[in-house]
Amino acid sequence: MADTYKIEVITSENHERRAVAFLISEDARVTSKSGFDSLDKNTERTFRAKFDYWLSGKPYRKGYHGWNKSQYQGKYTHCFVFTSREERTAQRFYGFLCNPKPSDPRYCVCILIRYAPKTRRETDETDLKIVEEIGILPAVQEAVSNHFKEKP
Amino acid sequence: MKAHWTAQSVKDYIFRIASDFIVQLENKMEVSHITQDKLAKKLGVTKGRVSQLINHPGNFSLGKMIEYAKAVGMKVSIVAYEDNDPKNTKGPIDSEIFRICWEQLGKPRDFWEAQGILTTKNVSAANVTFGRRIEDFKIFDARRSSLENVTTCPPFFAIESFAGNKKTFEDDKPLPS
Repeated sequence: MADTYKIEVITSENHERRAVAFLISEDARVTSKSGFDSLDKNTERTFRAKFDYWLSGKPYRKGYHGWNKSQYQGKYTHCFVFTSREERTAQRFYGFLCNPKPSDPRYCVCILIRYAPKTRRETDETDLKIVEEIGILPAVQEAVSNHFKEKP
Repeated sequence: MKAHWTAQSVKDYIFRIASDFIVQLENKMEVSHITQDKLAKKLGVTKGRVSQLINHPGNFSLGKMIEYAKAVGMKVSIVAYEDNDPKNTKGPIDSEIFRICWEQLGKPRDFWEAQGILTTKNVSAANVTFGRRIEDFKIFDARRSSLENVTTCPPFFAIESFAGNKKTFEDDKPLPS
């Protein structure tokens, strides 16, 4: 049976420009929601604050960033990551950016797919590959557009 | 409408505004080339203590914020404001927004300087910065505009002066403390 995908928005749904959402699925590679639910309170709040900052348009390279055309041969320009660096571990949520509202092309959502607690600072390309693979699945695209479907 | 996560508890709210403070602190440390090591030495604490506080914004007390800000050459103000969001569905306004607006207005040090700026600058921008406090300046400037050539006054104040709101012009109302 094919995997089913759902979207759960973690930030305010009423923000005019941006939202952050989890992709939810039985697919074992999709770990963002379960990862977020497993965070201790301090780390959860840290990420929530970073989601807020991204929504507000705050420049904050230490908290989140994407990848440009000159990195990884431009394969991951839709990918995005939120990071939290604590004493020994660097925790990350990887996702992809999309513009799901045809009538409002500037409205941007970051769909989080992977949770990665790590001891090294550098991004593991495996996570980006998984995000890229999952992000282009028609079932995922459909789930995203259905969730953000504009009411007539 | 769903409440913002900072509406869940005071601790959540404190975490968020302390987190805003830490971003400001880190930005300042970066431009001033102050490492956590240097900051720890200035504060007379261990690097671990600095790192622990920076990673756990919820543990910052107001006193600690003032100490840390001073150590990097900054000061702290507390800003209360109204943003037409009484149920906190949108979360707090980032403290960086207030700083940017204050700097954009020429960093007024007191109400006298602020008043001078508000008579010459775009009032709508000032309104964003000062929120309700703009009300405090209206009377002052309406009085001025009634005494001086009104054509040189910004439209906002000119409107005030023609609105019959002149009853307090005779006396210099003390500015709010």
